Amino acid sequence: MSLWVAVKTFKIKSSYIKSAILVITVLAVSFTFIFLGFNGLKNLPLQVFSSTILIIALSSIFLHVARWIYNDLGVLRALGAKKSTIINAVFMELTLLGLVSVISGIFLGMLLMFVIPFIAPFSSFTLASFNLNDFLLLLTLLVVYVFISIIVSIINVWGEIRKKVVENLTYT
Amino acid sequence: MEHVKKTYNGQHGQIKVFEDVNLKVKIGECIVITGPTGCGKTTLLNLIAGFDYPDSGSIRVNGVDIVKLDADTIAAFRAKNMGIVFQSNTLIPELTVYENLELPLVLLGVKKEDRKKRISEIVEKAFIKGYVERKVSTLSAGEKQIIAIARALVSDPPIILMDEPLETLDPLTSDAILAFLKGEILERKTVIITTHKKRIAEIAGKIVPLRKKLSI
Repeated sequence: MSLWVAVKTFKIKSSYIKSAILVITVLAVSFTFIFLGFNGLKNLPLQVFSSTILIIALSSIFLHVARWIYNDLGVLRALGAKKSTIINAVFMELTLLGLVSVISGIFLGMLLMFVIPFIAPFSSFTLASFNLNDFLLLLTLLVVYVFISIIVSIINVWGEIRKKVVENLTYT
Repeated sequence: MEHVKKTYNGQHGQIKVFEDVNLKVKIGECIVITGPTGCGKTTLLNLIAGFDYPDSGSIRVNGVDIVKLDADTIAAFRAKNMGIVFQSNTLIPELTVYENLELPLVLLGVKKEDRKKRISEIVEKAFIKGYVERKVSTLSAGEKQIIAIARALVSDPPIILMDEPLETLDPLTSDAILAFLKGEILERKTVIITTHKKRIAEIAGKIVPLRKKLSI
């Protein structure tokens, strides 16, 4: 049930979702450069600063995506959708959106560092210095940040769902 | 509905919508609620549908006091027992007609094969077979309203609530919708319709006038 709602919402908001995927992918590419290319993983102040920026940016994007979903929240609830159905659908959508964007961003970022010659001189990252542990650490960090941002958005959606249906219908 | 009281908080204090509303609708009855703008017709339907709660009083639907139900229980009750046609168009424009009709059945947990069967039945009855795969955004206002009514009926609920279903439509489209409503579909159901239009009284068993700031 939640999966059906999630898939249809992706279809409904496809243009917004594509924009969100693009922005998050670009963010993930940037952080791949910072963490792997500029040794951000070994520089604690840089890591903390950039991680904070990333979490704020991801939370902001996810909140916007969740707000687009609010447009149909009133209709879904009026037709009999339970709170758990809506929360599950939003969680599935944001998880898929976040993970697809972040993973493609990391791979795209690494590919760019390997392929574009003028990027390499600015960084200490080379093919020889590639470290699988660094890659896994970067992947883990970004996935954790995605889930922190999703939790922030889910709390916001929960606040909307707690309202009366008549109030949710005013969004339509 | 028994002794229902409802007030809203306005900019200049509280607005009394209902002071003591008592309304009884028998099973299988079709009633039309008429009255001027702002007299509380939509509020009345919102209360019956469980979209909003009264300040006091009880609202029994099929023997269940919906005022006492929590949000999820009332959502499940609504999905199973009520088909609702809203005043404003609440179809999802980016989805096809088929997907819009499928939505209440999905929320009800109906299996895919059964969904297909029920949708093909309602599509036949509503004469909308020609544009089932079209996106709702490409349809005219009248076509959208027929789809909205079909969506309310697709899960075969015993109660139908319609909030001003013909108000924005031209006479020809209104005729088409009235013909659809008069058909066998509504004969077995309890129907509550709010309207300004006298024509819709053709399908009503009882007309209930609602006056501004006054109980029924």
